[in-house]
Amino acid sequence: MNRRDLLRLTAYASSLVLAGRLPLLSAGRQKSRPRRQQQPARQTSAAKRNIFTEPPAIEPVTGYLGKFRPVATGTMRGDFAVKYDLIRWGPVNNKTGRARNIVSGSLEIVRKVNGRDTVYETVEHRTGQTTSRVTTKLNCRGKLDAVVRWTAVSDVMNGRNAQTDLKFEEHGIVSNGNIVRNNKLGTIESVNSHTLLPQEALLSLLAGDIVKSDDLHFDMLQNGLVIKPNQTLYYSGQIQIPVAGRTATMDCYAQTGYGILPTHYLADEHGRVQLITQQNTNWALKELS
Amino acid sequence: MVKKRPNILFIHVDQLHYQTISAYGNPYLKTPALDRMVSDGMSFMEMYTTMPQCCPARASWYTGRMSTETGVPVNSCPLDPNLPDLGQWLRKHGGYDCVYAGKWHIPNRDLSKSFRQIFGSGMGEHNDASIARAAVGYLQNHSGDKPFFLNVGFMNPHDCCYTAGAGGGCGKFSFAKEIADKLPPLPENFLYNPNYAARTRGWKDLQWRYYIYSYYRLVEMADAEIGRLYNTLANSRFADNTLVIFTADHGDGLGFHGRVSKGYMEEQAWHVPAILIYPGRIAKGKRDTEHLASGVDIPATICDYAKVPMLPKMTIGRSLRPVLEGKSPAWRDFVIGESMLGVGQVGIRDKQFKTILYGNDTAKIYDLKNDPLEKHDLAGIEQGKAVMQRHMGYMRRYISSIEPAPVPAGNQLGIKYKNIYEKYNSWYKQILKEA
Repeated sequence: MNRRDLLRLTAYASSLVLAGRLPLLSAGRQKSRPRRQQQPARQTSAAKRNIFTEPPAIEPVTGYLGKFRPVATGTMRGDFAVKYDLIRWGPVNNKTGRARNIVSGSLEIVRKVNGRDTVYETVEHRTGQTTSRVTTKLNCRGKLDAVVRWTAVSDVMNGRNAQTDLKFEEHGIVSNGNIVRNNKLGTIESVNSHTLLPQEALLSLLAGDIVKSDDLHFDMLQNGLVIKPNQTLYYSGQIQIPVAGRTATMDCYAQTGYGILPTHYLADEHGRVQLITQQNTNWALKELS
Repeated sequence: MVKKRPNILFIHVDQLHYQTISAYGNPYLKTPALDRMVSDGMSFMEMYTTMPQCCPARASWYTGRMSTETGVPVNSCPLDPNLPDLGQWLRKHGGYDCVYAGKWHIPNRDLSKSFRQIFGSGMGEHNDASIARAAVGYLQNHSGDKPFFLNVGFMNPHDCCYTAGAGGGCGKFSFAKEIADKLPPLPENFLYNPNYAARTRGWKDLQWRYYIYSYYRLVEMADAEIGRLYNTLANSRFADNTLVIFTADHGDGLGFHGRVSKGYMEEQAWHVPAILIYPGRIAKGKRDTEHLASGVDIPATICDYAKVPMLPKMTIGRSLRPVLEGKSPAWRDFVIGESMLGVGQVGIRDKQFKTILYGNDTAKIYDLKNDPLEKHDLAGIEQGKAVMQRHMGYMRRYISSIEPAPVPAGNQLGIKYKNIYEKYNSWYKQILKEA
């Protein structure tokens, strides 16, 4: 192909992109208008904000979606166990026009309802120049699974073994809005401005209808080790996204707040959170039981 | 009797704009951890990096030399192997346990030979939390009398350079429409110039404002991890005997003058925040606006508090300790920074004015006291001429003080990099000759 043909082709492709007529880029746009008509029952205040004309929710994982097969069984209500792959974003491949995505870790969450408490046990691995692991146990209560006490252990891995001299362990308690965290070095006290929810609890909340009807305002406990206050999670309507061999319809929820880039949760019609996208670090559902 | 050496915690972030700490008055983000550090220690409000790009700025921190002296005038150039770095120096002369987590980015220097590397580098969203956890893990397990020199290099807010987008698109930028009411306004000195950066061509106001919004969230992301680390230290047995230093390698455009990124001498790229904390020794909550500080003052201050000799051939760097401890030392009249990207630029800053000299014989001059956002160029008008004359005198004094790294023999680095060494060597010789 000579340079003139290449330029002509590029200009043609660009015009298609601008018109929203290339399949991947137009996935959200084509469906955005009929969506409200198809879903009149969902005209909540949050749904009215759904003005997607492009698919920002999937942009960080465009290179991965072609091989992503949404998990089709199981539920994220009651007791369940999930495993997510951590999908890292890499600069766009000029040939495919899609992100270079690689799997760089995993997140396993087990949720068990035990009397009035709900217990989450999680293990997260992140790989890269160095591999880290965080293990948490969270005791939660109430209809939102607000955290009441927890333990988090952080490790730096050397192969399969944790380096004992870099291990960090902390225990937290929440009582009447006061948070007390204890580790071997001392005690850290703080006050939460909203209900403190572990990020893990969002899965079962999104499996229900709570967030669909009302925006959720909360403080977030991330990895059992960092608190990010003033978060808002809201329903943003349905979008259609390309996945392996087909198009999938997902309920899209958006989270904004302190210390996070806009985060999207994509849940299927059964409330299974299939994808969580941030920017460089994203999550894709691998197993659910 | 030799007094016990303090522990030193050096926290640095990548690409932090100097106006992005909420305690300093920015209403568009919250940085509770940095705010606490501001109230616990002393802020140097006039701190300038040696070169507003990652590798040169970092090479200066760790060797105490200006970016044209280290062999690293721009990213990817190799550090002079004969220069010792702080890890080697404090280990040898102070018996420190020298530890490093996170971003290093100094070419031609094996980090693991200078420090015990406890965690590697990577994108901020992916890695910074792990870096903070490794650092608090180190603190939790540190025992014995050996003082530590713990270095923690967070990547964020540098993730602003990595926009997740399909087909060269703008990633989550299209989400801007959905949160338009949350987006901060454009800066007062926003002036879009399509020649600045390819990635911003075609951006409308909404994209620019989303960039600023997401940048602030990345600053908060770093802030949360800094809080994880600092709060652990501040509530530990190490708190009273640890010098904490926080700064950034360079700033970010953040829409100022219609720019993103770094590498130039306008305030948004060159000017950086700096906070130093040492309970009982450094005044709490003080914000110093009197002393012009440089990135090379950081290693000088570290050597001073660590009670080790100054790093060799430290031509410009001065310990901030007398200022930190409330004394009134004779101080420099001006501070200089360099960027050898493009035609080459040198920033010369005195208490009121700033000149940016360009390698193509042009200049910009600003009155920072009355025009802190650099909106009115005084070059060519009467007021500017007097400033230029004075600043050229400063420049000649500066060139006479430093020891520029020579042009490398042979072509091992390739002509592109060789030209950079030639650029400042010939430019500086010309300036002295014209005098």
